[in-house]
Amino acid sequence: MIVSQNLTKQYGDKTVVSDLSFTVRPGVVTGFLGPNGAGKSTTMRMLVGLDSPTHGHITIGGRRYQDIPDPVRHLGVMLDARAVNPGVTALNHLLIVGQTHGIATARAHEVLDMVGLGAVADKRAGGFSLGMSQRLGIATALIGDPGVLVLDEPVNGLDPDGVLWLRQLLVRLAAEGRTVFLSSHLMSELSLIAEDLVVIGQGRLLIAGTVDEVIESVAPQMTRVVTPEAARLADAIQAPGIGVRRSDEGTLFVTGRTTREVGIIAAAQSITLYELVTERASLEEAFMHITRNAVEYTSHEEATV
Amino acid sequence: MTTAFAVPTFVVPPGPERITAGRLLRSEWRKLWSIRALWMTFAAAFALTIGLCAYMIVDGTTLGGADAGHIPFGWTGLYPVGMLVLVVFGVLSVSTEYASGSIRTSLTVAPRRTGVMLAKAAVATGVSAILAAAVTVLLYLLLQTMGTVPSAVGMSLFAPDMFWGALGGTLMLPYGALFGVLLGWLLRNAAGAICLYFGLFQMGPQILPTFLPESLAGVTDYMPLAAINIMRSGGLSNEPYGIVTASIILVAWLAVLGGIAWWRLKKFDA
Repeated sequence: MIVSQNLTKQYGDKTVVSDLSFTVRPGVVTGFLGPNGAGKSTTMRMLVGLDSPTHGHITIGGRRYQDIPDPVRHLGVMLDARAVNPGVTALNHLLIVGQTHGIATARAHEVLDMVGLGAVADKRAGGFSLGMSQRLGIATALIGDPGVLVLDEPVNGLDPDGVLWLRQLLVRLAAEGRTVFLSSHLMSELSLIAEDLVVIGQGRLLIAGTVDEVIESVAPQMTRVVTPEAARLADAIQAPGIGVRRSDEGTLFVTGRTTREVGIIAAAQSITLYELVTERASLEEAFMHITRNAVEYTSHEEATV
Repeated sequence: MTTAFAVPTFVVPPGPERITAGRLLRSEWRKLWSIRALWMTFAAAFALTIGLCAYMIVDGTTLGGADAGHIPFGWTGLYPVGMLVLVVFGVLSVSTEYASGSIRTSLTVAPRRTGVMLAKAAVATGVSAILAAAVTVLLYLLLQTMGTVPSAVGMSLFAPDMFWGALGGTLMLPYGALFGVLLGWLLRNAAGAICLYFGLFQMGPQILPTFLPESLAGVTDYMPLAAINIMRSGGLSNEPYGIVTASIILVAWLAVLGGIAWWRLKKFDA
């Protein structure tokens, strides 16, 4: 479990991370979201002791990363896939990392095979594509078989096959009870694998919770129903706390009732339904809404989606 | 944050894998021989030392002549060339990590940082010292085989007239490597560290007296190369100080450079 409490980082007058508190629980994949310059990478760097917090602290299993005698076995991290000496082979890079902890050479081969780089173990990292570098970075993070995995933009540069592989790997690791914490700008990808989200902007926590909670904080889930008897169904659904909006002759948008409840009411009234679906905002729409006032760097032209 | 259902929690099983001094040394040793730029620079330092000294021994004109013929360890006179390359090697062993970004991996794997710094310094110094000793023995054997230096013919390597000069020359090689490592940690940048070395430590003794007031001109006597010259003179030179003072000066330079570099490494973000 990762716990950040009042984490603050200042560079001179500029506050990059401000009073940031959140918890990343084990057993699920947690997405770490924020616009460019939000402080995600700085937070991750503070997690592994590369940067020192100005105030507050961030711990793994209740301990500072620097205080763990065998850190690689507790936390595997990939902050920058290209942060490898280009003259070193993939295998030697892993051995350089693993030998600091006495990790067996066989484990280095094992993780190289796991990430699909077994065939290029003796190739120099300088000749790797971005996708191959990402795989090597993930292998580096996995070499200690850690309980916590922290990955910064792990999907960058991966081909579709690699994205699918990574998705399955992360879900499997989380299912084993590990803590998986990753940042990504690919909302569609995160919405497929993340159960929890931590969203920050300009160094501050904007929202944390499950994906559903985050999305519903922006736009409540709605049930859309298409029926030839919209007026009669609207009357039947109405109740205190229930919202019904009619968009055209036969379409209703209902808030406060699930598709199941609407279906049961319609059946009880013998009302024919043509469509009955749940509608909610996408993660991308929710993210844009949540971070609309916390964007550090933006183009002058407004983005159109 | 809510938990919809109970999830298992992965517990890291107890195991022998943890950071130790020996393991950090092994990791740094692997870096040394697996990074091409490092081992090539390292090999070049010793190849140059062996090649130039061997030529002088075989030729015998200079070493056996009237000026140097009475100095049995005169063949170590070209060791400073090797030392110069070893300074560059030491700087590169650190600066390549910063240039490639792999320092973040190194300091993440061993987050207390001091161990990484000490291991890198120990490996560079230790390996240089072993090879320097081997090179000295090799060149001594060549010297005896060729017999081109009359004062050294038949003299044991451990005879005082031979030993102290040979030891001083030999030690300057690992000293150069260590000096370079500490400069690398201090500046983290190859160009900056090498410029500082050449500008201040190599050229300084010639340039600085021009700019310094007369009362401070003697400062250059306390720079590393001046102390090294005393060390490798084997007792033939005791001006302006002797071997003990020279040793203290050399260690003090390492302590100052290493202390500032360590403080910087611990204090600032990586």
